[in-house]
Amino acid sequence: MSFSKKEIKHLADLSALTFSDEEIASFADEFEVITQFVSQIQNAKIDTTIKYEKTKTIEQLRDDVAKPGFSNEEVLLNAPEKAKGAFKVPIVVE
Amino acid sequence: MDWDVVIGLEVHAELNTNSKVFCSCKNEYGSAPNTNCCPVCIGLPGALPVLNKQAVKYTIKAGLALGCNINDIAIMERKNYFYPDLSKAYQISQLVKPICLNGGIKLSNGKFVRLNRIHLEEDAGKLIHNENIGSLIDYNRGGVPLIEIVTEPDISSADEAVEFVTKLRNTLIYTGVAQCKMEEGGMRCDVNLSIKPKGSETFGTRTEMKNLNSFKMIERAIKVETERQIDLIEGGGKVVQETRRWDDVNEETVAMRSKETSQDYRYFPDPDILAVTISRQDVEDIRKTLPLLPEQLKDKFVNEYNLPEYDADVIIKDKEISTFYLKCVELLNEPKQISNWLMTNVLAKLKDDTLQITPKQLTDIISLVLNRKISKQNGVELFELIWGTTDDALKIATNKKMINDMSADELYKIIDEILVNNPQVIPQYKTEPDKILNFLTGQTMRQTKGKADSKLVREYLINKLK
Amino acid sequence: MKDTTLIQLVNDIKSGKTKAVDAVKYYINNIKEKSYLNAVVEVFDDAIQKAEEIDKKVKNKEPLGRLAGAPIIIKDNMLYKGKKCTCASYFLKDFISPYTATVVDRIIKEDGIILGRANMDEFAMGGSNEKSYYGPCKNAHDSTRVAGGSSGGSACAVAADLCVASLGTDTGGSVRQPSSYNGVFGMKPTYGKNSRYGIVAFASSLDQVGPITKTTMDNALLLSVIAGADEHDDTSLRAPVDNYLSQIKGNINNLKVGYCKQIIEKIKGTPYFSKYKKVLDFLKSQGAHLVEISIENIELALPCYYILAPAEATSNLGRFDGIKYSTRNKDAKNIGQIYNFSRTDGFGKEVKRRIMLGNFVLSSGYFDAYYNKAKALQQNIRESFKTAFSKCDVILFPTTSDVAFIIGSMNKNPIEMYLIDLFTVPANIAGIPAFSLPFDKGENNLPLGLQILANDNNEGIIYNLADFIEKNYKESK
Repeated sequence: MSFSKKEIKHLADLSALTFSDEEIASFADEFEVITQFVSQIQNAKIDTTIKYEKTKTIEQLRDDVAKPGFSNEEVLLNAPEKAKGAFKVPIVVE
Repeated sequence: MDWDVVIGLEVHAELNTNSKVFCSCKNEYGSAPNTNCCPVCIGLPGALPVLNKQAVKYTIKAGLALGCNINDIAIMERKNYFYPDLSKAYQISQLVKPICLNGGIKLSNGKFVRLNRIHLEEDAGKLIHNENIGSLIDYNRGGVPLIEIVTEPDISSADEAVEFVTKLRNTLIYTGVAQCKMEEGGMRCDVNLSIKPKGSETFGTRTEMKNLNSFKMIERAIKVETERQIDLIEGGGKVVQETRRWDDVNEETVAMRSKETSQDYRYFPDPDILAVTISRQDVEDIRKTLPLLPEQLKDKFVNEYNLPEYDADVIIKDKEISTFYLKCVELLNEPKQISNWLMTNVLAKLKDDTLQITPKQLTDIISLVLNRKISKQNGVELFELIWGTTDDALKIATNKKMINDMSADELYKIIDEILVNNPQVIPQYKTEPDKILNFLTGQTMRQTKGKADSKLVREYLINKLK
Repeated sequence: MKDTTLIQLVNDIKSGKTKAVDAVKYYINNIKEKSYLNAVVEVFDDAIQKAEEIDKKVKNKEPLGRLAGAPIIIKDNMLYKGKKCTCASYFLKDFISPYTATVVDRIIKEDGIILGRANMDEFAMGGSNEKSYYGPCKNAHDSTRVAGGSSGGSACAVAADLCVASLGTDTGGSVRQPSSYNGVFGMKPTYGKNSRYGIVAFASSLDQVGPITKTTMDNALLLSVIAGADEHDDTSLRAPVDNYLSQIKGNINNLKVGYCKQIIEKIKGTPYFSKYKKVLDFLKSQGAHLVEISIENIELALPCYYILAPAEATSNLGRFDGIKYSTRNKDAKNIGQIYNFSRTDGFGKEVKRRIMLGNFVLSSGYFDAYYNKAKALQQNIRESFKTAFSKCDVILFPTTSDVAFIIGSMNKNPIEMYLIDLFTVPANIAGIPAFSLPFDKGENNLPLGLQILANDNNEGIIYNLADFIEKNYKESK
C-alpha cells in the first residue's frame, strides 16, 4: 500500500514527533516497503480466536497491602524542572 | 418543535482499597504532592503493573449490587494518549472483556436505566495550575483504582440523571467499595448529550461534558447544554461532536481546545498483565458479602416494618442512618416510633453535626417514653442532653428528676385538684375545648414538674369533662 | 586471569587464590586498553570498593554467594540504583536510576560485582550496535565489523575479556546474534523465566534478559542465579528454577535432534549449510537421533515480529516525554512542544521509525489486519513449535547464516537489516528458550553461531547439548 504525506503526518502526531518534509517523504517510501513486507501475514490461514494460555485466578493476584514507596526527592530525582514537590511544565490550557 | 433529550452517563468512582490498583502505594487523598509514589505509578522505565486483588473483587461486588453479569475472564488494555497527568502515556483500562456487563437502576418514575458495562481502570495524576509558576503535576492520584460505570443512552432529563447518579452513589456507598466523596473527586460524572426531534428514531450528534462532580453541576450542565443544542439547531446550525467543559462561573459549556473530536487510543491488551479468570464460585463468594442494598432495605421497611414509603426513602438515603436505624430496631421492636424520632430529632441534629448518639441511647429514651416513665417533652430534653456523651439514659433521667414515679391514681388526684381549683373551666370547655385542655394540661405539667405524661393527662381530662 | 571462566574465577576467589580486587583491576585495565572497541560505556566507580568487601569476607571466612567477586557487566538498559542508565540514547543521557532491576539485585545478593554498563543499540532497537548515542561497538575479533545487536557491547565485552560474564536482553535475537558474531555463548530463556522489573521495556511480550558468557557451564550458573518468579513482574513464571549445572550430563545418548525443513530451504546453497550438516552428522555419530520436522508458518515469524514488537514498543516509549525524567528541549514553550521537541531531539532515527510503525499497526482501521492478525499468528506459531517438540527434544537453527558484517554496510533499506533476525525471532514469538553457541568459523575465520531451541522450561536440555558440542566438537574451538 502507498502512504500519503497526510497519513505520515497523522502517525507523526500520534507519536508526538516532528519531521521535515524530506523525512516525511522518506517515511512514506520506507513504510511502503515495510508494510509490503509485514502484509505477508495476511496470507496465513489460521484460527483467529484468541485463546488465553497464561491466566491468573483472583486469588493469585496481589494482596491489597499498602507499602511505602519513594520519598518525594526520589520521585523528582531526574525531573527536568520541578517546583513545590511537583513536576513543572508550562501552564496547560484545558 | 418538540425535542427529546438523549443522555448517557459515564460515572467514575474511586475504589476504597488500601493500595493503588497496579502498585502498593497508599491509596489516600490529601497527602503532600508526590509522596505516595513509586516506579510503577510515576511511569519510570522498567516499572511493571501488578494488579490489586481487592480492586477486582470490589468491581465484581459493585457489579453484583447493580444487577450486572460478571464476565468469566477480564482483560486489562492500554489506552494510549499523551497528557501530562498520565505518567506512562497510556491508561490501563478495559475494552473488549470488562469485568461487568449489563445491569441497571430503576428510577422512581418506573424507567429502568440500563448499564452497558462496569470496568476497572486507573486514575491519572493531578494538574495544579499556577499562573506564576506553570502547571504542577502530582502523581499521588495516579494509579488509584477507578470503576467506570457506563449507561446506555436511556436518560431523558436532568432530573432523571440526578436521580440515577444519586441512587448509583448510594448503592456504591452501601456496598463499601467506594466512598464517593464528590468534593474530593471520589466520584466524577461525564455526560453525553444529544437531542432529536420528539419521537424520531435517529439520534442526533452528541457532545460530551466531562468531570462534573456535584449534583448541581450535573443538573445545570444538562439543562444549559440542552438549550444550547436546541438553540443551535433551531437557528439552522449543526451540533459538532466535541468535548465541552462546564464553566461553573458563567454557567455555560465551553468547547475544549486540547481534546480532539475523535482520538485514536490504539487500544491493545496490556502484555504486562495476565488475563484474570473469574469463576462462578468467586462470584458467589463475593455475592455473599453484599449487605442489604437501599432498594432491598426499602422493601423490608415498607413490607416488614409497615413504614410509609416516605419514611423508608428518608432512612435509606444514607447508609449511616439506615445502619443506625436497623440497630435500633434490633434493640427495640418499635420501627415506626424509632423512625419518627430518627426523622424528627436525629436528622435535625445531623444538619450541623455528625451522628453522636448510639442506638442504645436512643432506644432507651424511646422506651422510657413509651413506658410512660418520662414525658415526651422530657424525652426530647433527654435526647439533647445525651447527644455527644456516653451517658446512660436512665441515669440522666433519674438525676434530672424526670422519672415519673407517680402512679396513675396519684396523677388523677392532682388533675382533680386542679379542676377543683379552676371551676370556671368546666362551662368554658363546652365552647373552647382545645384552649381549656391546653390550659389544664399545662397546669398539670407544671404541678408535676413536667413528669406527667401529657397524653395520659389529656385522656383523663377529656373523660372527666365529658 | 586471562580468559578465565566465571566458574573458575569464583572458585579462585573463594579459595583465596585470586583477589576480587585484582580481578576487577584486570578487567578495568583491559577495558582501557581495548577502548577502541567501545563496548563498555561506563565503569562503575564503586567496583573496586565492592571487590574489597568481597575479599574481606573471604579473609574472615564468611559465607559467600555463588558469584563471589565475579565482575559482570550489565547492558545499558538495566536499572542499577544510583547509577546512570541511558539505553544508549541522548534522551536518557543524564538519567540516574532510583531503583535496581531484580536480575541485577540477584547478582549482587550472590556477591557478584557489577563492573559497568555495556554499549547497545538505542532502546534495544537494532541488530548491529551501530545506532548508539555513544557510537558503534566493534566486533571483538575484527574492529571493522559490527558487534551485532542490540546487546553488542555485552557480547563484545565477554569475547574481548573485558569482564567474566555479562547480561544482555533479547527481544528478537539481541543476545543470541551478537553472541554469535563475537564467538560467545548467549541464552534467551523461556519467556517469563527472568524478571523484567527494572529492565527498560522494548516489547513487553517478547523481552527477556539473557546471560552472555565464555562457556556453556558459566551460562547455566548465571541463569540459575538470576532466574525465578518476581512479585514485581506479573509475567514472571511461578515454577521453581532448575539447577541447570546439574542437568549437564556429558552425553547426548538418544537425544532427538530436530532440523526444520523450512529453515533448511533458507540456508541451502549458503556456506553455512555444509557446516550445519557437518555438526548434525557429528551429533548423530555421538548417539543422537536426527528428526526432520516441519514448523508451520515459521517463515511468517519475522513479519509477525515486525508488527508486534513496534506496536508494544511505541506504547512503552510513550513515557519518554521530557516531563518526568528525560532530556527536555529548552526551546519548548508549551506542553505540546515539550512533548514534540523533546521526543524529536531525544530519539534516534531507528527508534522513531519503530514508533511510527507501531502506531500504524495499532491505529484504527489497521488494527485488525495487522496487530490482531499478528497476535493470532503468534499463537499459531507457538502451537506449531509445540507440535514439533512432540517429535524431538531440541531443534537446531542457525543463529545467523553469516559472520558479522562490515560497519556501515547495511544502511540501504531497513528490511535488509531486519532479515538478519530471520532465525532468531521465532523463539521470541513462540516464547521458547533458545541458545547460541560458537560452533564453527566463517569468512576470515570469524565466529559462526549455532542455535539450539527447546520447549518451555527445557533450558537444562539445551545446556546439556551445548556443553557436549563445546567440549567435543573440534570445529567449535
